[in-house]
Amino acid sequence: MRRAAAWIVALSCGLAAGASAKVPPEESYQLHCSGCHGPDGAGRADFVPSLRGLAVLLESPGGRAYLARVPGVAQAPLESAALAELLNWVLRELSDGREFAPYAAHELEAWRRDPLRDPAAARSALGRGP
Amino acid sequence: MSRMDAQFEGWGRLLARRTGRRSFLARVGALLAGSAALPLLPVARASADSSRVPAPSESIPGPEGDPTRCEYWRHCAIDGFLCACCGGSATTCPPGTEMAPVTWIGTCRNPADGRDYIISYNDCCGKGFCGRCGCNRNEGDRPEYHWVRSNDINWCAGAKSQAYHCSVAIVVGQATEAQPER
Amino acid sequence: MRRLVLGTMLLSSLAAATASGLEAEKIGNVAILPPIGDHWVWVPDRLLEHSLLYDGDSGEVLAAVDSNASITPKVPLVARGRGEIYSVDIDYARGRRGARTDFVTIYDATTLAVVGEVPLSHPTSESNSSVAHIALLDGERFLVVFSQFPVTLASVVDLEERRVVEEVPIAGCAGLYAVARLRFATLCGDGTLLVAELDDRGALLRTARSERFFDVVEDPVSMVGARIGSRWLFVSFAGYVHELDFSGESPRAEPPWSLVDDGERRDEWRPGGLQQLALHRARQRLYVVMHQGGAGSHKDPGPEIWEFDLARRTRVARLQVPNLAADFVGPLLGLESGGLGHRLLRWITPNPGAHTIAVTQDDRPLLFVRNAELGVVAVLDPRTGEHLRNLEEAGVTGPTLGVP
Repeated sequence: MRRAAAWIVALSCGLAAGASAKVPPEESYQLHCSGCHGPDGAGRADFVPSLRGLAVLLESPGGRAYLARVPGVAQAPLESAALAELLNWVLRELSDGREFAPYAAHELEAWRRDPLRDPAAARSALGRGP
Repeated sequence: MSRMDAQFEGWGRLLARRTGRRSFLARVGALLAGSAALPLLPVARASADSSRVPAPSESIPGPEGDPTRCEYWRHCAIDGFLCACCGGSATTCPPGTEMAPVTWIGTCRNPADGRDYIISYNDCCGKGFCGRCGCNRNEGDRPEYHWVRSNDINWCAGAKSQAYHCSVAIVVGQATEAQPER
Repeated sequence: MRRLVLGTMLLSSLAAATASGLEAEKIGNVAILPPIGDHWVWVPDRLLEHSLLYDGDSGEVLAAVDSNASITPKVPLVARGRGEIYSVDIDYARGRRGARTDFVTIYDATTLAVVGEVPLSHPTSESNSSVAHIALLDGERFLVVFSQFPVTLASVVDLEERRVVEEVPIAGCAGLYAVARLRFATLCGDGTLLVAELDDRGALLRTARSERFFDVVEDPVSMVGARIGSRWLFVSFAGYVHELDFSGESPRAEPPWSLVDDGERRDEWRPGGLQQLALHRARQRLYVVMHQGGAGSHKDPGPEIWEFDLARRTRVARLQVPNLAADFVGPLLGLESGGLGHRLLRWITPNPGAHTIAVTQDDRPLLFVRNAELGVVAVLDPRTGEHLRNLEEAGVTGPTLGVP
């Protein structure tokens, strides 16, 4: 068991029906991202992009919108606040330690309304990154 | 519904491939031949050589604790053949197959402790159908446009060969709560 | 000398046989298909790796089309105007491993000779049902093929030139639905529907999306859709019908209507199965396989098929699914169809329900009913629910049916 908080949640889930515990971002990553991007974000060559060094994309014009609009992010089954926390966690923990301006929920709320149907073309247009 | 239908209501679940270890025909054959006992007890894995077919160590009684059964607790959204019936186990691919590196992940509730666990449903690929222990349960499953929670997709897509052989159910973590799709 | 005598004796005995009975028959006859019938149906089989083409009136098999190494066969598509049949196939150089190739096999619709092939450069999608993975656009010029990984796109095959002329990126979406001569739609994981419009050479002109009309987490729509004119109907897990109208610039989702009333919803009546919708266009009737079950039951087989009047949006009939288990096992046990043994079997064997239906479009329609785990297909008269006959020895397992 990891934390006392998780114990309390497990014991009380029968009593507090409907109250959703806060899911830590590393767990959200596992549930919503790791199946394709791998437990460590390495992806799979020629099949799934790596998430390492992702933060550099934010330095390109359009990079912030791009990361928010790729379908895996935009369509993730999370409220925008939790999604922002997850995306920031990925940029912090799986990327290369580069500084970045964290996403706010309202940014994601706007961008995710229009998911990219051609992410490869959008990615090429950014020019930089891993 | 007639009394007969009510008695056999469980058979509907059988044919929905949510229960049962043996094929439907084997069961019908047994019934027609007069043997009334349906195989409901779990089969103990007799192999003492755990390195050949390593099995997760759990002690859950009944089908919910048996990786060769559709009712196994980790199989709450499995779609395919159970590798435990094909020379592998709930966590191991059979010899000569490749465990697909790209997969879908969901949560199932463990009856032993009432907690939700994160399950990785990797496919084993590179051979034709195993053909044994076919199961299809769909708790929290969603259609292919929501691929992160779709068991319909052939998840051998990311393997060297997309020929599908069987599926495993690996616990990759404990969940704070069940997945959003329920 | 002896050989000559023996030969003569043989010849004379042969002559004696033919003179008194059968005419000698020609070696080398190969049947051809008559023009496509209104009551034909494709029955794909996963294990036998083919689709059998049945005549729903006689119950006879007309032909087979192989599906090679696909884990789920895609129902062959028939282009009446072109006189062609298309099968999207997968092959590995060494059976189930080695270099993979994807291609459209083009058959002559009369002789079933292979008359062409279109290589595809992206791995075609495969799923439990492979429903809506391929579509023939109106006018039969273009065939679209869905690929999901590694890149999600629709390949546009020009059937005149027999080559891929466009690849439409549709990341985050799945399923292909023919809308018009140059338009097709796809369902997206943000709860919308996207339409792609092509020019008359098949190149992408533009895309348009609907408003968000369903919630992927709470109540998603099944990828099994049903088309009527310029509308596609999609049904959600909880039994709401979403009608998408394509007559305008952008697809428009109409407010949903429910297949079940409050009492039925409380009793957990829901649509379910693997190909649980069928629609008769002229009679405006929607058929839905229904079962009782809660969350997670959306692929369970159902014991009933409900018929809805689309104009009035009301249910007009509840058809009972015949006992496909008894009807599959009976012939295996040598029981005469309809005989005492068969009737006894129907009484004692639990009815496993159906996953899949299809309906013909003529004015004396047939409704085909299948359980994906059993090798028999029931033929019903949808106007009365009468169980007319079965298509027997229909394989072992398969999730879909296709009326050409």
